[in-house]
Amino acid sequence: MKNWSAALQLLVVGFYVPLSLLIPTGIGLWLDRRASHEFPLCTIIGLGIGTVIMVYGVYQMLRPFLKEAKREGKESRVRQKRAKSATLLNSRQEKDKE
Amino acid sequence: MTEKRHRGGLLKIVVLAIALFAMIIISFIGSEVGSGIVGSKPISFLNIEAPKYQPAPERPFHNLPITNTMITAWISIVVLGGLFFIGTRNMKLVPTGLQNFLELIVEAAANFIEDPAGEKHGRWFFPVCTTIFLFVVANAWLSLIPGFETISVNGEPLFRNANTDLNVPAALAVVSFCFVEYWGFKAKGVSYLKTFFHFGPLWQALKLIFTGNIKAGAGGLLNGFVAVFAGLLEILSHLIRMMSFTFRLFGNMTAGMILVMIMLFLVPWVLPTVFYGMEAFFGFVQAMIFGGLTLGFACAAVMEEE
Repeated sequence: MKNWSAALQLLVVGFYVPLSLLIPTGIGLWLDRRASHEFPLCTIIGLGIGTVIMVYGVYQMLRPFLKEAKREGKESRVRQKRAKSATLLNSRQEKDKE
Repeated sequence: MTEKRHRGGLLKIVVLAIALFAMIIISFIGSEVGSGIVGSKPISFLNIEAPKYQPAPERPFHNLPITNTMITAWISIVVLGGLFFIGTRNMKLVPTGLQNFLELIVEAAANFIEDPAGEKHGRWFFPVCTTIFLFVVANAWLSLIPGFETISVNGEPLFRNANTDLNVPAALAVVSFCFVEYWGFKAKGVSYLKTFFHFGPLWQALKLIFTGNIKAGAGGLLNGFVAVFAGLLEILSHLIRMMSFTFRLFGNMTAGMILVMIMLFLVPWVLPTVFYGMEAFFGFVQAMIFGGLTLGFACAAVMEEE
């Protein structure tokens, strides 16, 4: 179930990227055609706005995944440290016994 | 139970693979080349104009000497400057958000540079190597934004990857060369010239010959000539570095741009995504190589001879 929700979230990201770029750029293009500019200023502004929306939105959407990866990384590091200290302790105890 | 789940997972992958393969086939048949091979009519929205590559950057404003690669380079500078300005405006002791991200980049670059160069020289190299890396990577990644290179003015594209203009890698190579030589002189002073003009062994051999020790002098003479020749080779290698820097970046970026253009023309759906991902990776790798080689040459220039 968890996998499905993650897949759905990633699917949303997949749709979000082109839509967030296409909609503002399309509006800009439409405005440029209406005003019959020679320089596509509105299209460029639209693309710029779209890019900012895309980057910010993708970052916000991927934050839970990034956080989870970070937490897992931290946990594995803690586990490694614990295992290391446990082996050290065992070896010391064995030395003491000897 | 686990076997059932495993089968379900496998089924999902198979369905996804079939769907992607179908999309590739449809887009290939719908494109101009594919429809010509199959003998069907091209689908209008898949029929992309054949790619035209022009090695020289285009001038979208005919009356102004501004090329589209220059505009993209300016945008890269503005984006990088803006990001760092916004990210460092309200600096916090415990960084969050953009500051956190920027500190991550700066810290990674500082560690990467200080590792071979040491703290003292690392501080000299850091601004130049990191700027080169960020500039190259920003240029490469900016051009990957969908639609970026399709906006045109007066029939010419307004933006184009700055790394695909031979002048930009050449300018970066000259900057890299100048800084490497400057750091060499800064670290060693005038004795840095000994790297190129190593006449010491030759003089010594000649001195021995003239003082009558002909046998030892003649033996040292060969070493002396070898040292002089090695110095000349060193001069040559320093100059050729600029060429290799320039053509490596230019060639890789241009080849990537042409590859994406051709893939979009041949198979407009799904497949270009793979090449987009590859281009993102290659852009990063090329930036790493440019910055890393500058760092390597700088380390070699300031290194004390044993």
